Amino acid sequence: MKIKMLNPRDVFAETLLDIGRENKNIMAVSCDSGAGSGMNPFKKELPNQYLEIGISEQNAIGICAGLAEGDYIPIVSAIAPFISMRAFEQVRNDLGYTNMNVKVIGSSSGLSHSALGSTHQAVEDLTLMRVIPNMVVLNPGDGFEVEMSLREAVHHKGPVYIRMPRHPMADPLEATKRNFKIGKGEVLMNTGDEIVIAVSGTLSVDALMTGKILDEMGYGIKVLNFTTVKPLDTELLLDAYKDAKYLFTIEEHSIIGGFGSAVLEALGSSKHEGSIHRIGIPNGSINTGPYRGLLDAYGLTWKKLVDQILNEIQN
Amino acid sequence: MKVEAIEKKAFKIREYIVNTVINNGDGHAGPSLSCTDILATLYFGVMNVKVDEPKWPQRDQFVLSAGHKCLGLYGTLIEKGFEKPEIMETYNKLGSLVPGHPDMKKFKGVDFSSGALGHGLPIGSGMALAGKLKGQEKRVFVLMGDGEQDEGSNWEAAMFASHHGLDNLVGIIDRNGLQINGSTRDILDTRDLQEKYSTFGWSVKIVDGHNIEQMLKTFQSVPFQKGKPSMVIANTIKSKGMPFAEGNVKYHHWNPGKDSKEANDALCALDRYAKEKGWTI
Repeated sequence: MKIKMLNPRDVFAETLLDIGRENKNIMAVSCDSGAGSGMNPFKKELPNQYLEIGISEQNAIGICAGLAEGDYIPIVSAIAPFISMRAFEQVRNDLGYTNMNVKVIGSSSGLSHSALGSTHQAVEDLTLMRVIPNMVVLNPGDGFEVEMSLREAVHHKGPVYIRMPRHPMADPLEATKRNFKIGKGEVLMNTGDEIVIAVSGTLSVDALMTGKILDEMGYGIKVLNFTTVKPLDTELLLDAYKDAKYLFTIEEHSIIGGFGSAVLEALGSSKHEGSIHRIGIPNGSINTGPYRGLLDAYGLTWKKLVDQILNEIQN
Repeated sequence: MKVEAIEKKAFKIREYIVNTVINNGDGHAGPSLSCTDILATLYFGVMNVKVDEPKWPQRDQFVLSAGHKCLGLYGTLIEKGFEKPEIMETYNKLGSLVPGHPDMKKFKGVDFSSGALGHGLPIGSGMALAGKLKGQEKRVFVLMGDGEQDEGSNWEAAMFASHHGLDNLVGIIDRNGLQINGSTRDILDTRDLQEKYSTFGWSVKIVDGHNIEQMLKTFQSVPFQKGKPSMVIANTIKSKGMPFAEGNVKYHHWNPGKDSKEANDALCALDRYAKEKGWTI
């Protein structure tokens, strides 16, 4: 079977253009990042709805707040660490507490810029964006999720952060079998209760592979996928956890404050005593190298995930 | 509104500032008093707003980038009629609707929340651009401090506003020469702000920030140059209206206590000023 690999940037570009054609209040905002973000087709076809700010992310967020007050729906994109970290205070004050209708796109997030080093990698953005009042946090990992995240973010009135992947991804399930709603997780696999694998973002295919291998070994498995990190689908999570012996969270993000932390917060009040393990990027210096090689080095590819899970449950 | 009527409004705003801090405790009295005449001029002689429709889309908008001067803005908006004077009684109290930096969700007429310095000029630039793109007549006024010019984000916005020809944007620098730790010259010398903003593509004028007649003429002539954002550098005196505190950095915050000598001196100074003007207020 041929697996269709979609480039998230192409999906973003097509979806953005589609949304912009339908709604003249959409304003695509670039921080000298239009080409890298996939905004160039939009710029070419809808130049009056395209705004170039230059390399100034703090200013960009302020401008977007002002545009939103003028009834525009700005969709501002820059490389994830710059828009989520350099401009953090502007996002917090001018979009979060004020509940401005601005969509912030952190492009090439996680380890996407694998060779460029820690300055260009973003493994802390979920932590930062999650804590901002009124902010919805979406973490799409494949083409379907990228398209739906952008479409639904525009329908949501208020600030949304979309953590964009960079590398072509296969969808874990056929799009026709999937549902997407902000705040709702989805079940990718369900063969039993013993082990729950909860994944968010780019690693859903690896998580599903991991689940299938463990299932073949005789374990009862659930694989849950969460595109929305905030508000988290605690109902789905609690329902799966109540009968589980083990729950593993998987993400291309720091284990401090990201999806795994959100899961821990959600399950903190549960009286069930299944063990919870977070798999992600440890707090420390970030390596560089090829993208899949880097994921593998952090134990985030399916073979390494299987090993880690077996190691936990067999000891 | 004529000059003397605006001067009376400025006096009333000063009363709000002084009385609020005397009655409710600690506030940014010095910075609020230095921009009071500017605020009165804008809201009673320049800006087009509707009290019964605070979010009227065509209105002129105002962003108090130096949000700590909010006592002046609160007093102005109350005098304008957006809120009742009683709202100031909640100042420094639990659940206050008049926090120490303005919140657009709590106080009618506040066009954008502020407090962290260097945020207002980008926000105002976005508002001005939105107005232009929608073909509206509105103007956007952004009031900053001179100490605030230390923040780099101002200069990002300064480049943006001139690049996009936002001649419906008016920046105002309340240049009282002081910031918390001392004089702006000693802390981080901004040098020639007129030259700096001119170089950044703005049309700049310098005014006496306590001369309402002069400010009226200046603000009524914006844009100073078609196709360029306008910058008004207003030379002011920190704590203007409290003679014992004027130009003294230690009155950035003020918390005199209700029956203190300073409280009495401040109230007497206001009284004296009104009598000199022959006003019965």
